[in-house]
Amino acid sequence: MNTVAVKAKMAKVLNLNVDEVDDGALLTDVVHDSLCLVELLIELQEDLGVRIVQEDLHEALTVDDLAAMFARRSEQGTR
Amino acid sequence: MLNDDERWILSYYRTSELGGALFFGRLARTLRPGPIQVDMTKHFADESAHACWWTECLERLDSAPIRVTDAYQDRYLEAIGLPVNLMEILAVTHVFERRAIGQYARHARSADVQPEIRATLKRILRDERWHLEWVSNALRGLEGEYGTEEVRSTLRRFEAADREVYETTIREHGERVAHLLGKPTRTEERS
Repeated sequence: MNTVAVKAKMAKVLNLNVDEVDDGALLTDVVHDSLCLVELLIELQEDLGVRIVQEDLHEALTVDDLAAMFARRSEQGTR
Repeated sequence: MLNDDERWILSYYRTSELGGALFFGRLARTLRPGPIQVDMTKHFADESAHACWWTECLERLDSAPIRVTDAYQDRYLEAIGLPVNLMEILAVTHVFERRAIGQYARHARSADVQPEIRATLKRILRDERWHLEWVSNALRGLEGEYGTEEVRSTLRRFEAADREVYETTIREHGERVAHLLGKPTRTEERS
């Protein structure tokens, strides 16, 4: 799955119109609270069949970073 | 009637149960169908019921809940960082449930507990024991995917964080809960 498709999924989970999601936005600006972020991460992992660990988040500061990371994992089939 | 400390403790319990319910309810929405989804949904329902029982207990004792702004779980996030996968969520839940069982059981055993409070504690403890059981089983089930050592090391890390959170909480609120820990309150020490 490519980055655009992952972003669309993220927008859906966050209940946003995908056009409203700025690629360069920090996750902390787009996600309302930490529980919302956990929900987003679990939903993406369940949906895409990939797995991440805490360290992965250190490099995923923006919407684009996170989407790209999940897209890569999804294409690699990394679980 | 409750004294201020009792009212605070029950309000703290209520807030923690509410926080747990909200957390598991939202997660249960995201999970794929399967045993973990079923058990987490029941877990969420139980935590909601526990919050309700604490509210009712306070009411029966002619008290209203105090608004407690930070639940025990909030401090976990500060100590452990965000749990980002299902195994980490279950691991932190496991550690938290063990702490809750210990705290509730200690409270139920303490000498001057009002019957209403003791009855509520025992009722909740029956559920909490099942919570620990299903989470333990689920974690064992995830060892194949995450690796046994990763699951165990995650549990150890979260247990260490829990000890830190517990000690901090006791330092901040020790006077309110001293009687539950078998420690003399400052008032008793002075007399």
